[in-house]
Amino acid sequence: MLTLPRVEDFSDRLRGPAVTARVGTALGICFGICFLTGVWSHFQQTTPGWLAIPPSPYWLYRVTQGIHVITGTVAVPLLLVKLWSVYPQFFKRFPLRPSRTMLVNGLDRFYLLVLVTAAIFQLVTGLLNVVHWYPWSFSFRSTHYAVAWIAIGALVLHIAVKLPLIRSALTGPLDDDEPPANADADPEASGISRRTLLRTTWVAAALAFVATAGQTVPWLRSVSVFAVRSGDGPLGVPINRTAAEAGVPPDAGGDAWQLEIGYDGRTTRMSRADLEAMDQVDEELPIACVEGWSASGVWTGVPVAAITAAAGAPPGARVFVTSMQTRGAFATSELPPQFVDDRRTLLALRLNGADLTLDHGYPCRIIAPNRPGVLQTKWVTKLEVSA
Amino acid sequence: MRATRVMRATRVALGVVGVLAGLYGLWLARDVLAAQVRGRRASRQPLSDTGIRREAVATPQPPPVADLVPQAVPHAQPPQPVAARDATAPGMRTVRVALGAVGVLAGLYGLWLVRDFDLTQLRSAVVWLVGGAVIHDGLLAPATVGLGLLATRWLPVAARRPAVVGFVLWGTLTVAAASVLSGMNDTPDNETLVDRSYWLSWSIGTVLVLAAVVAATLVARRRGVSRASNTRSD
Repeated sequence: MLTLPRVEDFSDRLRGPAVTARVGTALGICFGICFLTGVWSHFQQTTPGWLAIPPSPYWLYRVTQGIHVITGTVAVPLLLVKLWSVYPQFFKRFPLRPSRTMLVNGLDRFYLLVLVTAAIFQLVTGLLNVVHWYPWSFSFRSTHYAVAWIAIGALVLHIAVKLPLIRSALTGPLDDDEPPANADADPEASGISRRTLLRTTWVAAALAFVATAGQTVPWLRSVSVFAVRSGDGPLGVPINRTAAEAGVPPDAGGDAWQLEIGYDGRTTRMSRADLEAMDQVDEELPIACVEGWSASGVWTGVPVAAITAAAGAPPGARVFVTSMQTRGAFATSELPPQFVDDRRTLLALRLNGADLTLDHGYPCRIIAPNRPGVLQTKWVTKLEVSA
Repeated sequence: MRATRVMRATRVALGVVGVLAGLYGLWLARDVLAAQVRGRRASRQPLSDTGIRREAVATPQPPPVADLVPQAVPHAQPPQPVAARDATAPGMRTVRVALGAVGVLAGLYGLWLVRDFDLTQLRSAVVWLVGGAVIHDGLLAPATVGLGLLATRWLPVAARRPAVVGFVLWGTLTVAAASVLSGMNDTPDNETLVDRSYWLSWSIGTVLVLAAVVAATLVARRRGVSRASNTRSD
């Protein structure tokens, strides 16, 4: 007859607070960094009114979002080892007759369930977002954000509950006084010490880092064999969303295309030739996407400030950008004054010395320092300036 | 329309207050229970600072607070007396209560964020939330335990240590790369997205790990791992 195992059935002496607390500390640090960089990314995309995100340093979002995805990926082996180390507790029985013990045990089980489900959910949905695979019916961004708060809340509660145990485990010895497992005498022994297990876990975490971090760390590209985006692409830069995906017709930037600039009730129109006739600026700036990948390119175009000035707007204006794209959540974006006034914020016409391809946003696109890729609007058709 | 919104806000607010009040009550109950347990234990077995460790090892006594909640302590681990003292120290208690409150509030804020989800979104989110835990606890974890049992039964002693290390590394590669290995994405026409030979890399990685395990096993056997493990503590 098949029965559920009990805690006592797991005899492995590798498991225990000494290992759990150490792996848990590393995992907690990863989750903490991942949470903070994730909230930062959320603010970058939907900036609350009280926050003015500066355009400098230009590499900030590239770094924070790269770290977000790296810590999430590194957390995968840490979470697996952590859950392995406490798996017997899954089978722990507690009295089901109504009592305070049952209530406290029940609540304890409940928050642990919340913690484990939320943690696994965050890593799984995050990893699938990296490959643009969304086999579910919820919005990735808002759900990943909401569950992040639930996960970090349950994690902080977990630390509060376990704090005395964590402290004693971390200050105590890793391997206890028992003689090392004698595999000959005890056929059940795994033959490795807790120290070996921990070291293996750290190596596994390092492996997860090296195997994927190349999507954002250029010098790791050749060794990150499981990273998305080798870094190649048209004009030397990968594409996040193609014109076909975004619902932009192939002839979008044809001769009929004109950029509309609206300011103070007047509309100014500029052809691509008009834009090319203006003073061109070269800027080396990264495309840095929420999926964690990033790539630098040299962009050539007209500073947005020069265009708003040509339309008669004073400095300190705000620009609302509209794209020709018909699909996807980011057909528009807004450039706050500090981005418009920054001369590195371009309406780019060229990338790495050649005209933009359609997938890169031809006829023109926004490229600004320290901005998430989804706000670097492509296939721009209209700029509405408000002073 | 507006009335229902007010109604909903009121219900949510009342719910939040209720949950917070309930949790606060539980925190209080914890202390009462802890005091009771401490009293019971003190009457049975006088504690002295010097004697704690030996007594605790000889007759495992759960620490006062820790026995109210399942701890990540396998039965083999004697409870740590340090934990018992820490748990009731005033500074530690303040930190724990503050952390717990912050955690609960953050979690409730996360719940608040899903208030606008429609039923389809909520259902899908719950399926994925529960599904991940079910696949781990019901499939991956038992499979790992099963492999461990098979390994202790079938693998030669010298191979066990390399096999465990190799399995952890191989498992990391496989799980962390599962998303790119799946070959799935919603934008197949984007050739710059998943643009490496992932299965080739995975196969090479698997072969390398296997080769390393075999090599380490042979080295361990030549050195005589059983003697080594007998004399390691010397």
